[in-house]
Amino acid sequence: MATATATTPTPERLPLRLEDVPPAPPRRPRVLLIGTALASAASIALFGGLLSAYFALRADVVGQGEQWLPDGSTIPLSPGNMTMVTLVMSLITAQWAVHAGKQQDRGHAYFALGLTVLLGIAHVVQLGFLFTQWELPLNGEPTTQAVLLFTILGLHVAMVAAALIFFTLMLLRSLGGQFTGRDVEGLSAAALYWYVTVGIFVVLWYGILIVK
Amino acid sequence: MTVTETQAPPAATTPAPALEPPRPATGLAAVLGTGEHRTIGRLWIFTSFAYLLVAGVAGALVGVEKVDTDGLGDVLGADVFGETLSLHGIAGTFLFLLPLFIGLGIHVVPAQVGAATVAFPRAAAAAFWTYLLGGAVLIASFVADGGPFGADSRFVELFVASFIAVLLALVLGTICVATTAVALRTTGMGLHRTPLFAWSSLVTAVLVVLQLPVLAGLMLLVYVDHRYGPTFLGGSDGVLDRIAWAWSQPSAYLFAIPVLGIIGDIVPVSARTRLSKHRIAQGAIGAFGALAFGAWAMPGFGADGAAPLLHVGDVPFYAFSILILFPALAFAGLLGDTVRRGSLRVTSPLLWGIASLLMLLTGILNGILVAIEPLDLIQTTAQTAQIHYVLVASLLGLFAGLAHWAPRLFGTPVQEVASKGLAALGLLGTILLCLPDVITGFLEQAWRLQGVSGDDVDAVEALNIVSIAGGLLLALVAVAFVGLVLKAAAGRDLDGDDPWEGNTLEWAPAGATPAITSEAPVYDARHGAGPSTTEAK
Repeated sequence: MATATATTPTPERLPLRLEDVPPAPPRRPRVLLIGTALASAASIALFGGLLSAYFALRADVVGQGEQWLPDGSTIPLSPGNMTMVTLVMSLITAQWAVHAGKQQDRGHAYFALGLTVLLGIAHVVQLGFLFTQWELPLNGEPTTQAVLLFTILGLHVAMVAAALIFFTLMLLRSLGGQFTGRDVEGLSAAALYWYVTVGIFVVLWYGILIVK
Repeated sequence: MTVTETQAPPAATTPAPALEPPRPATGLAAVLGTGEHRTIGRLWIFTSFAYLLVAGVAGALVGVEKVDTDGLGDVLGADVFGETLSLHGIAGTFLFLLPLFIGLGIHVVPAQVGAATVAFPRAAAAAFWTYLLGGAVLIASFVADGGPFGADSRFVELFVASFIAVLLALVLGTICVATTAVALRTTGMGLHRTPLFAWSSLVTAVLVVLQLPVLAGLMLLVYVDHRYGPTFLGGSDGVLDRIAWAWSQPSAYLFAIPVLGIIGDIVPVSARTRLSKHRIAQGAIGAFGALAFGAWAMPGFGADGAAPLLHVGDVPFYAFSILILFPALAFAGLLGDTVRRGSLRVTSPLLWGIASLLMLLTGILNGILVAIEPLDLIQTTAQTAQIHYVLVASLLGLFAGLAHWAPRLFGTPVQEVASKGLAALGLLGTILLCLPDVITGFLEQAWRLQGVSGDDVDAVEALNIVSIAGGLLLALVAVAFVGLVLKAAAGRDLDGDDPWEGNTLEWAPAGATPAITSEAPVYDARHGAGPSTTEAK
């Protein structure tokens, strides 16, 4: 007895035509990323203006044959170098947090975020220590140098705080489900602002703390 | 025995009481908590009108002081004159011109690019409230003898802090507008098809983002120096020198960038055609914006005090002053070609726009004269005239935008006949305000309280009176036009109407968004055809 084998007819394979390909889903507008890029540009302009004022004043003093820092004042190298290294390390932990956020890996994301915040706070503490070491009081007999250094570096502390808050907020929103899968625009935006923050400090570190 | 199978009656299911949707806020609460971009835009616009009044009154007081050149400073006193002059400049630029542009941008740009709302509407609202409160505190600090040249150090510091807050609010507001133009464009609208006002808003925003933070940083330095430091920046007397670069050449041109976009949108509509060479027009606006960047001209901090880092006699100053004429002329030429190809009807927005463009070109020519060092016009009234030409041109251009978009902003157009008359008077007032100052600049009248040397005192005083009359005429025109706008805002009887037959997406009928195949989609839809190959480029 012959057995009948049920076979399902195979559909005729037609050559794939371009017009048959469904259109790609519309891309989510990268509103937050573009807004953050503009805010980053504003931050760079802010510090660029302050640094140009700093260098103009410094060049004027040095051009008259005087030392830039007043007698008795010094900017020790070690605290400045350590705080710069601390911030640069946070670039790695910030990228780690972004990567973990993309993978929806809560454990690593929280750990990396915690490390980034810790390094940011450590940077602020180290900078505070540096402020006590350089013998440039803002109260008492203030100098031009003290005004410039406290204004520029103090403003950067505020920028670090703002960047950390932004980063934490975006990570929590991402883990809460707002930015899911490959769509991690909020995290990318926060990371971008953090990288700009660190980049600006590297310039300040070299231009102010190293060159003196 | 029969068994009757019974079924338990289904349990009565009482539907859970539906939660009532929250009632929308009304009245003041609706305004205070709004995130709706049209409302936010109107708030920016109306508040800028209030601050325009402050700028105008301060300008009139400054003008009165110049009537008698022998007794300069007699009316207000030297310090109060300095304070009033500072208030005139700050209120005219940072409390009026830029906020008015931001208000227009927040309202119009989303509609132009086919977005449902502005990017970051809550941030736009936060920026508005910061601007409103910061501006009020700034003016209050002037009244309390703070501000530049102020005697009360507490209020000088309050002025600086409130000014920083206003600057940050302006940066935030422009970021919202720029992000809308970049990220929220509808399908088919590439940047090359962006309407010119949206494009010019983007260029302006880039300039604001790069320039205003520099000014804010300077102000922070002034604050710390004034409060804690050795006042190496000159204390309250040095503040104006730290700010004035922001409305002087070349930075003054920043305020005129959105005006180019406004005129570029108005002229094709008035000519009932599409703009010639849209991409070249975009390039001209971009080049104009690049040459308006002036943060490099901020004051130096060396031995020569307030002298700019680069100044008259330096190559960049010459280059920026002269080169900016070319994109402006190219843009005017494109508009002229558009008019030539079209069928022109004279509307009030067109008249405001023409007046604005003429004054801007005159201001640029005046700026070239100022930049020529042998003429020795720097820090004379010729430089004041150049600033006035450019800034008043910006005012006239923004008024053109208000007249053009009033049906969309308020639901009712402004009265056409009255608006046309005011545009003509505005042009006359600007010429009367500025031209005498150019002449007195050649007669070596200084731009602040330093009197006139030589035998030309009578001529200078007569020209000063003409200039003051021009300023008063301009003030009356501004007040009357604001009245027309407020009257239109109180109307709303023609909501949705398009009196101009506009070309760009904000004029599309509700619910009938046309396909975007060119920079003038509504024009295409109305005429049933896309752009010809020669016109599209």
